[in-house]
Amino acid sequence: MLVALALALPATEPPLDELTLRRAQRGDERAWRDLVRRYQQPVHQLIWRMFARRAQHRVEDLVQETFVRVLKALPEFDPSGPASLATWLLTIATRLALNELRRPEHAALDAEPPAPEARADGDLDRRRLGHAIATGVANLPDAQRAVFVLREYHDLDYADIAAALELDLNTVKSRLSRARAAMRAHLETAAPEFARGGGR
Amino acid sequence: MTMYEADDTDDGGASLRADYDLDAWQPPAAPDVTDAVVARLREPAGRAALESVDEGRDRARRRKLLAAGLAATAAAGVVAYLALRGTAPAGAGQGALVATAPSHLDLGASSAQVEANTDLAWRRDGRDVRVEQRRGAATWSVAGGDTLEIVAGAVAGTGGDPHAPVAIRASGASLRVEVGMHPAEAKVLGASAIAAAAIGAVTVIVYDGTVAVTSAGQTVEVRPGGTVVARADRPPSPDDPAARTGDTDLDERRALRAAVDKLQAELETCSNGTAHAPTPVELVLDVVPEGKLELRRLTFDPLASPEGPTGASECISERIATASFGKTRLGGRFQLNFQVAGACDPAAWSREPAKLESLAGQCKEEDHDKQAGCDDAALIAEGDASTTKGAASAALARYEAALACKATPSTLVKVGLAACEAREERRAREVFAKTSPDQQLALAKVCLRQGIVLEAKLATAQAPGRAPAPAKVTFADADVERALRPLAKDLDACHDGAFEGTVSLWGEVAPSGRVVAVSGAPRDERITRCVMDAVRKATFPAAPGGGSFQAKRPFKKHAAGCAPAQLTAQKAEGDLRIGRGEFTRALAAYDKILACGFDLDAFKKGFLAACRNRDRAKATEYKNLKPDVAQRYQEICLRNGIELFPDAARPR
Repeated sequence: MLVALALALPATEPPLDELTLRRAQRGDERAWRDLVRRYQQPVHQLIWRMFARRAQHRVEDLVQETFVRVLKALPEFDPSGPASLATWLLTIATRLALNELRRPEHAALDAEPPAPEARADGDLDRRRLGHAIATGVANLPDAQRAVFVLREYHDLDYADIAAALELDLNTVKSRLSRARAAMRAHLETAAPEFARGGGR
Repeated sequence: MTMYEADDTDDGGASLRADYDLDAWQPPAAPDVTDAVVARLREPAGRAALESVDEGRDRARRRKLLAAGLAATAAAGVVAYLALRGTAPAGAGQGALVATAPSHLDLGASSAQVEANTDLAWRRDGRDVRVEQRRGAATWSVAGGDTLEIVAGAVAGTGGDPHAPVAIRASGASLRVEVGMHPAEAKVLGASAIAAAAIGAVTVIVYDGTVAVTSAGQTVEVRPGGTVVARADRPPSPDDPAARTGDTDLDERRALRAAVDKLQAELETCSNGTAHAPTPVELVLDVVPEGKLELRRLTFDPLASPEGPTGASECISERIATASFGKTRLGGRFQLNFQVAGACDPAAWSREPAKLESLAGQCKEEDHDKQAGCDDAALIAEGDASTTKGAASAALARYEAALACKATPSTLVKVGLAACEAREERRAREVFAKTSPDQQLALAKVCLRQGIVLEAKLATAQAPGRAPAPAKVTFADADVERALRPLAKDLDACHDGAFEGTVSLWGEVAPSGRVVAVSGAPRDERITRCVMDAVRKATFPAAPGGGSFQAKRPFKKHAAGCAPAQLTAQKAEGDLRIGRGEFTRALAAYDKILACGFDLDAFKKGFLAACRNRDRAKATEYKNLKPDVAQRYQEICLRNGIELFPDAARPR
């Protein structure tokens, strides 16, 4: 859990200290602000990636909604319980994102941004790879994308993902396996030159 | 990221990080949402939820309150949204008013009835309103979420002390502030002193709420019915009622207050059928000078009434619509706070006896019919927790278990709401068929947001012993479209261009056709609130029993600078610059409009500005854009020495 917490946060940010958490639970505005500032980046990253190329204008709304729900329910949060604060936050963010993505109007992908021109340029190479990853993730089914993003980008362990998505452990594993296989197949076609050591 | 390199071997497949630099896909920097989140939490519902937790009530109650707050805020009440969000945008703004005749000053959720010969200036910053009332009289109605601070009688150079004014502070209150010569003082003051007295005495009369009045370094709290007189050089002191003989406005106001108090006692007998506790109600009503009453706002505490306002709103609306007071000179606005009964009143369940009799029976029999070996409260708490997390399917499962454990009307409604959220249409329809008309309305709203259309039957409650009330109608789409058509510009102006989506609205309409309550799904809070404010101005066809409506307002995302409001602003800018002969600036404004799409008016004026500016290149650019239109207006270019159509016949 400690590893998950550390990696879900920006590298320079320590987790929220216990005193601030307790103040936030009591409704202290300064503590609320500390909590939001501390976690808004990973929550934004998660929702943005969950929405890969869909309705990006809704991302900020959902980040707000996540924190509103979290802070309203914070007095109920048990810091010594099974889920860390970061995991709990990401759980709520994931749920909200999945709910939102179920809306029919979000089914279509946004217009695909043009892929950067191929050139021997490190930055551009990285952008091309990023573009290929975004397209691959966008094409994953929502359920697989959630598992993939939580594991690969937020390093939640299988048990945390299972708890967050209310799935059993085997379902998490099978969805992750399928998502990774689909991503691997996509990247081998779309970005073969970026595979380290030729891929697997 | 070292943890990834050695992990995920078998079941979940190998991590892609060993083969690809997944961090090449990076989101943009996260916008800072801190202020927005805190602002939303500081609104009444958020604060109420947290305060209730701080008070250390039992755990189950806390869960219920929190979940009810979340669920009801998002979903249920027709009018609860108004309570949480206020009735008008709480933005920033300022203005001044020198009233030569009685005037109404609208400051968002708060307002003032300003009398003739009153001079004031106001500044609004969010929910804080600061007013400088230099002279005259005004009756202020301050909304619960607003803070009004009036600095009264402090005008430099007129004899008052601008550094030590009388300060009046109010929130959730109704008060009258008179700045000027007091009639009683006029009798005893010599003529030479009148000028000083005229700006010196400030009379504060409090009708509702508690108001703090500060002068000469001392503050007193004035309660409803109280009056104080304050001057910059004296502490506030109670007014002598004997000295106020002949003040007809005050007498009138007191008489109105007494009548409103009597009405309130009647309204308190309205019951809120499905609430499990007495339900706090806040309403604002206007008494017009002719004596009729108009309901301006009706809000229920969503924490105490998670299923929505139910029958009480109809009962209250009906009684206000049928009440009548005597004629007055000014009328007035009153804010009432009271509670209506809830707690399983069988009378409230009598409107559909066949369906609801058994549920009413369960209310009376408390826990006698509870299944052995299950804990419905715990299951509901689990369901509420899942609702908080947005896990609608899980919430539905818990509520279903709670319903199987002990069937209560409120659990049934929770099942229905969760079924809608989880898009379990079949189950939502089953529950819908078993619930009361008011609950059906709440369910219909939640389902509508999820794309499930349920037809709410808006039967009107019939209290025992009373004549049947006229039936409420559901306005057809054509009626709604007709009612909203005149507001198209207002609705367009709500759009900032960045939002894309559909705002769902529903509302209630008084028998006169006036909209009395609007609620909306807060897809985008600012836009939803703006749309609600606009729709509140709509007029529907009159219907004896009033009615309700549902509407959807789609918004398309515009390119930067192309929102209707922005285009209107550019047009105004261009017209202003043309009027001043600043053609380069005018051109820039019209260019921005045309960059969003062709607009004949902008084209003509832009072309005119280019020619008047002797800007051949720009004029040619315009000509190439719409040659036929440009040719029609080429005369202005010719006059300025620019010939764009050398081969064409000159216009005559």
